[in-house]
Amino acid sequence: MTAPPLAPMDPSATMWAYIAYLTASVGLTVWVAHTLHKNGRIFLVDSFLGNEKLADSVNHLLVVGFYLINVGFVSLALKYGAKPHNKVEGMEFFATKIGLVLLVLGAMHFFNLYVFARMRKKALLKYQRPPVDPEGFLASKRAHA
Amino acid sequence: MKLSVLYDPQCGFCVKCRWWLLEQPKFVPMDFHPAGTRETARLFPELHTTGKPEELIVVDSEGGVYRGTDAWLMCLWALEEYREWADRLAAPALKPFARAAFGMVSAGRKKISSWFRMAPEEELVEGLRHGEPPRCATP
Repeated sequence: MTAPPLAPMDPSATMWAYIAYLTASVGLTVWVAHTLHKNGRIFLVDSFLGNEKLADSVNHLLVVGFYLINVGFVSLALKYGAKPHNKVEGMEFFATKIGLVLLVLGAMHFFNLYVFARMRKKALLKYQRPPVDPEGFLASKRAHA
Repeated sequence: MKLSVLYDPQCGFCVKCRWWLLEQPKFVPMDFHPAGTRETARLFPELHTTGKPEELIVVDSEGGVYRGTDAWLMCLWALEEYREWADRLAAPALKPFARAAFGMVSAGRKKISSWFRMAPEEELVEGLRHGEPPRCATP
């Protein structure tokens, strides 16, 4: 049982709080997805060694996955926690939920960057130079080099 | 780029490592030469030493010579699954540990061979030459 609110009940405030939360959350998700799609492309092209078609395809698939997870989370989180009954609670609800969504988006963003960086590193591993220098050279082999 | 690895054929552990390396997926092809044999001396005259082979040696296709820990790191670098480890171990932070680890294993390789009953190449060859071939039993 929650404590009775100090301010009067205002049913429409609840709906407005929900609408504001969903609009802002989905908007932010779209913005982050767009940023990753646009700026992550170069990482992928590099990881796939210049194969732009493949990079674009993987990029698109990653964006789809990103939307699925984030819009899913945003939708589920709407009902979770205290229900706002008036404007004040509505504002608190909005701020808390948006904060949570931003943190999750931020975590997803850095996770994506990490995955891109690792893919690129693995792909370029093949072209790396030896980790140590030789201590000397054999004259017999050098002549044939 | 190709690597030639000169290993100690009298040490069972080294022989085991040589066969293991052969099976690993590689970025760089490797071939293996038992140290102290006539054939190896012919291929690498400057590296021929009389007496027991003391350290791991790797030679690249340009004649660059790597010994001991560096030779081990070059072997790791050639392998697809261990190239990242070669980089990590070669970095200043971990190089002393790599040196210590390799030094310990290299110095103790006879003990390791006897603990795990790993036979040196000559023994394996002799065993195969004189032993009875297994009979194919039909069920």
